[in-house]
Amino acid sequence: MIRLFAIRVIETVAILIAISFLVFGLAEMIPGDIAEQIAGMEFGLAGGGIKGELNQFREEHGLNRPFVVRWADWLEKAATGDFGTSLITGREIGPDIAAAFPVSLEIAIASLLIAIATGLPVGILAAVHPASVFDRILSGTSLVFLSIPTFVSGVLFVIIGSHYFPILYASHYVRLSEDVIANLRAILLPSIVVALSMTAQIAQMTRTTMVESLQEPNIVTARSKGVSEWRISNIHALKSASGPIVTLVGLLFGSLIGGLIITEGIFNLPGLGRLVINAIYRRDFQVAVAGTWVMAMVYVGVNFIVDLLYPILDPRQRVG
Amino acid sequence: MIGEFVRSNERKTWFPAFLTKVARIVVHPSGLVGILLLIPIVALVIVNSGMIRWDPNALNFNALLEGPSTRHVMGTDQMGRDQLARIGHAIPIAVAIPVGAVAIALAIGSGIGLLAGYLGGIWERFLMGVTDIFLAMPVLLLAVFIIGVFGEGLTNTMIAIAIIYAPRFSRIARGSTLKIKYLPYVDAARIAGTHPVKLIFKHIIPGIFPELLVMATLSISNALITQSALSFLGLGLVPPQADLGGMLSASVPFVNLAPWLMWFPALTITCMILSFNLIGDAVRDVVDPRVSRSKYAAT
Repeated sequence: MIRLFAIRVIETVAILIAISFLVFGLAEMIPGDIAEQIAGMEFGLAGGGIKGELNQFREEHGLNRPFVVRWADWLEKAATGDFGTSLITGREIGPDIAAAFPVSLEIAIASLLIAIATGLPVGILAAVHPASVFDRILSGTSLVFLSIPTFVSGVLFVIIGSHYFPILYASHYVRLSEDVIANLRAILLPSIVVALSMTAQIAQMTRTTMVESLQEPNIVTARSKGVSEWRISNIHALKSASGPIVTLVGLLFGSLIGGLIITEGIFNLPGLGRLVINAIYRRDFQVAVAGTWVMAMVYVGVNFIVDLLYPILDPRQRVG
Repeated sequence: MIGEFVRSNERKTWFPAFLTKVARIVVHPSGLVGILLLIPIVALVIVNSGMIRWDPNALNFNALLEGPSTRHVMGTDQMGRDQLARIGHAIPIAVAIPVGAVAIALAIGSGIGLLAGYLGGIWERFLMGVTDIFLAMPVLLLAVFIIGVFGEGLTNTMIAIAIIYAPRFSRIARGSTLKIKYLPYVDAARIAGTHPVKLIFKHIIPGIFPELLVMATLSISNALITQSALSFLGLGLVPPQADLGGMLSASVPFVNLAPWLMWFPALTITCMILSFNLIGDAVRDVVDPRVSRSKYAAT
């Protein structure tokens, strides 16, 4: 168990380092380096006359060092939360990310809660009554939910919210610590938008695994002992079905982050997704690299936790 | 036993197994609904290309933001461009990019996975390690980043989506290669001295293909979502080009004045994704009926 844990920790750290290499390396492939980019912005054209200045600029910011050295340097500082200063905006990147992170985290948690709170019971209900009308409706609607892209539902919700339910919609984000109600108004609709497709997938997965686990011997035993049907489906069967569901939730975190990138723009929320997208719009790859890496880190971290939860939820997985 | 063998052989001779499968996909309930949903989409493209009344990029400042009418069936946008013509032009692209991207991903990804599974050892570790790094990145995030670096446009969008979806195929290809590698018929071929290349193409690829095909059909709808999300963010196709995601994001400022600008692209895109999803489900049921949904889940 401890050995398994140690292996997973090493693997996770290795993946994070590899991702930083990938992202940093990709950003390196932009035609021209950041010095030329800034020169192009300030002087219009990077002519021959400013070559010396360009080299001086590179010297000052350590841009003339080999790629691997810069990457290692970046990673070393990033590990302590220091992402440097954006040469494009002149703002420190670390604090900007730290300010954006809680916004995204709040929507992520809210949408995850919504998705689990709706997807799980619906899936259980469908599994308990397989092939019933309800089950059919579920499989139909879940496919429809899966097929509505986040940006379509996002735009729809903004319009519906601002027109018909102004109580539930606020166009400006207010922090939770400042005003709870205003904060909830700002994040409710985006969280539902992000949750839609997750709800559908959680419901589908719950149904599939529950149908299987309801046929396992322990359920027969429980039933013959006289355990109530409610307890059987909601405790006994759900417990052995929880492994795949939790794994799915971990994987869904990836699409959740994608959902954040889209909804934060639509709903005007100052989160990480919008930070990265805006950085890419103004070709500020220092910010984009840092933000991307932080988001990937969260995704990898969530799946690391899910892997640890797996044997706790399902004792059969503890072997090996 | 022998009778069974003869019968299955007979059936093959008068009706190819491939066509039987296609027929079963068509009559499969979700396949049928999926195909029915495609009919209006295809009709739209045909009508649009058959009676070329409007150029999708022709500006007409006398007809800005006009509502649906007999002249402009789906209305016009803020530059007076006919929306029907634009959607009609956008649909083939919305099919071509996901299908093309998934095809590239299928070729590269399953190649890598097959090699990893077949070679084993350090090669397997290296190839699957790289695969895992790509899989550890959220889809849209990686797409946005790749497009940000390499620039927008049709080819880049396709390549970016292909890069993102390839690792999924690697994983499945490796898994099924490992399962097939030691089956008696492959062993027999190996012992008989079959050249490794022939072994892979003749014995292993046909064995792993069904699962890859299912993965491919299920990926197309997701690839379409990714592609139109990129366009929605302004990181997909370059502006004058009609594109569903881009049309939708352009419609947002005019939503009170011209709601049809939002509804038509939104409906088209949702219909297409739903249809691809349904057809993907049917293909999975027919081609790979033993496995549960979970194998392809969340991909």
